[in-house]
Amino acid sequence: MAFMQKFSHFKLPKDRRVLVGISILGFFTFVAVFAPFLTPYGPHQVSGPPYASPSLQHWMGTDELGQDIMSQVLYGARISLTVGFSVALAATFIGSLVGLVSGFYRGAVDETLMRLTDVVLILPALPLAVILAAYLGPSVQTIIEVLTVTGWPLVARVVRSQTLSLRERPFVDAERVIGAGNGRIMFRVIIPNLLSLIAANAVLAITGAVVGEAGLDFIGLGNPSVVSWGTMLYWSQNLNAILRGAWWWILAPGLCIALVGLGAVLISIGIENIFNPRLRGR
Amino acid sequence: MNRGYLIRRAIYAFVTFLIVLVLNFAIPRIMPGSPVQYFANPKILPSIESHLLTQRFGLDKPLWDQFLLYITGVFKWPPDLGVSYTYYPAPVWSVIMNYLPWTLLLVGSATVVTAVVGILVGIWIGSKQGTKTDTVVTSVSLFFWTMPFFWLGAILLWFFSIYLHVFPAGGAESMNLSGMPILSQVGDIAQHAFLPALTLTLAAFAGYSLIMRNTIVEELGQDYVTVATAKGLSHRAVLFKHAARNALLPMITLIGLNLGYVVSGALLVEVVFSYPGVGWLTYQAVLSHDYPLLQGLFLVLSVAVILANFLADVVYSFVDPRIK
Repeated sequence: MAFMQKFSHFKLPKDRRVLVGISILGFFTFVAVFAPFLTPYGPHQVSGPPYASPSLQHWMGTDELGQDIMSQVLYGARISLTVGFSVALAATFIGSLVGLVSGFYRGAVDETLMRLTDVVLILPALPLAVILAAYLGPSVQTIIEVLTVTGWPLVARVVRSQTLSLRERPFVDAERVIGAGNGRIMFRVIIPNLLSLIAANAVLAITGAVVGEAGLDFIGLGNPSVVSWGTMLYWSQNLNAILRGAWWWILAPGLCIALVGLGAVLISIGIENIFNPRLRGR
Repeated sequence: MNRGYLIRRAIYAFVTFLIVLVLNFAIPRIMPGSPVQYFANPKILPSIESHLLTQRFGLDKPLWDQFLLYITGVFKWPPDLGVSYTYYPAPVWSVIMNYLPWTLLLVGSATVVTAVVGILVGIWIGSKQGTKTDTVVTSVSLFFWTMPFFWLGAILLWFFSIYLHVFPAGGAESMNLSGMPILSQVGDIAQHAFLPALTLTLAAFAGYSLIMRNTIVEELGQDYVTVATAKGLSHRAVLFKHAARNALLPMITLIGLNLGYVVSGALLVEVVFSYPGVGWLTYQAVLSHDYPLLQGLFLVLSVAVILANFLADVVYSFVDPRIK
């Protein structure tokens, strides 16, 4: 999704989008942390008739066992957000490191690392994630690992191209003249100048991770007994919720995924806009 | 067209292919468990077949021998990718080839429609840059873009097939289709493909429209646009005959770049619509731990995407006179 780099050019109202994005992510984080206080039912507790449509007792209806959908959505936020944040952190870390080393050393190192990056970037992520996850066995940890493997190249690309340009700037030459080594230049000089860019991409990576988690869970590579937005969709598919007309089972988890994704994208665009004066007012 | 450029892109595609080959070989072998268990499991296959497969792919031999046998298998025709557990005794290759056409139909038609819709929307909001329309359409596109494809598909399936009953609720064609006239056969297949393709289009058009919008905004700021406007050309003519034309070129490479994303999405959408393509096959293979089939699917899909990207490069070199 190389085009994300270009998102920064949008003229949406300037800082409002960061605010909206932070509110969305903040809301879901709150929900995840305080889930037990927000619903009277446990996520696995049978608390009503099966396939009950939304009512006062069950605001989002019940599933095939009579478990409360809203409780599952609230508790599910825990796993989905944990996966989203962990993957974003790990992928950003690896991607930044690869991009930094690649752009700084150039030459054969760059060529090798970027070839690998491009391969992972161009291949369809799902089949690759599927074969990795199939061997590792279904668990939340597997999903985090697999999504990290497919998620880092985008960050690497962006960081590399900025590093290439930064390393030619006068202040890097100045550091070199006063005797700074490669390590110092990379981590003390270049990285601080890339922080806003890295932050923007880290937030953006949350979107990919939350959607990716749902996809892997949905196709049966997650642990189906763990409640997450993805496994909710997995069970609803497995038990033919749609064919039975139980739209309430699928509506909420998917909307939450899309909202979290949107929130992250908005923050990411905003960060780039704030820190990159060239983009202001466009 | 330039020969040097094409040769470089061909080498690039080939190197990517080689890396995929190595990945496909290495992944099951760095995982816990033995290759015999993954590709010739005697608990699943008849013992003779398991023995034969172990021999054929050297699964009990050193890695290097395994690699050579694996490569010889891949470059045979038809490629020898082992035997599927679920569809035993069918070879992996023929199983995949049975399901691939439906996916090609779906991804192919969706890619074309998505690109056209995305480009048109991009021109539209690009020319209205900064207005309310721009803000609203851009936000809505972003929202669709962040939706899980398969979830959007499930919602559309519920609304159109279960609630309104205007589209079939799954599959790729009706049963006993063979006796019907050719035209109604085509109509039937189109009817089945409509909702899955619509899902892909809605979920992916932002991949084109947002970039097209930015390129249009950039082009509209160029001097030649001012000149064209000064000559007295209408807004419409400036937009379509000048700005849009120049903004179109990068879209071709975008088709290739978006393809991996669309293919991944299509695989999951097929599951929702019980559409008998390779996505549905992947789902079955995951459920039944059919490792040989999963490996084959990864290889075939990757090669397809690499080829499509190369094709985009070729087309690009024909239409952009600047490529040297």
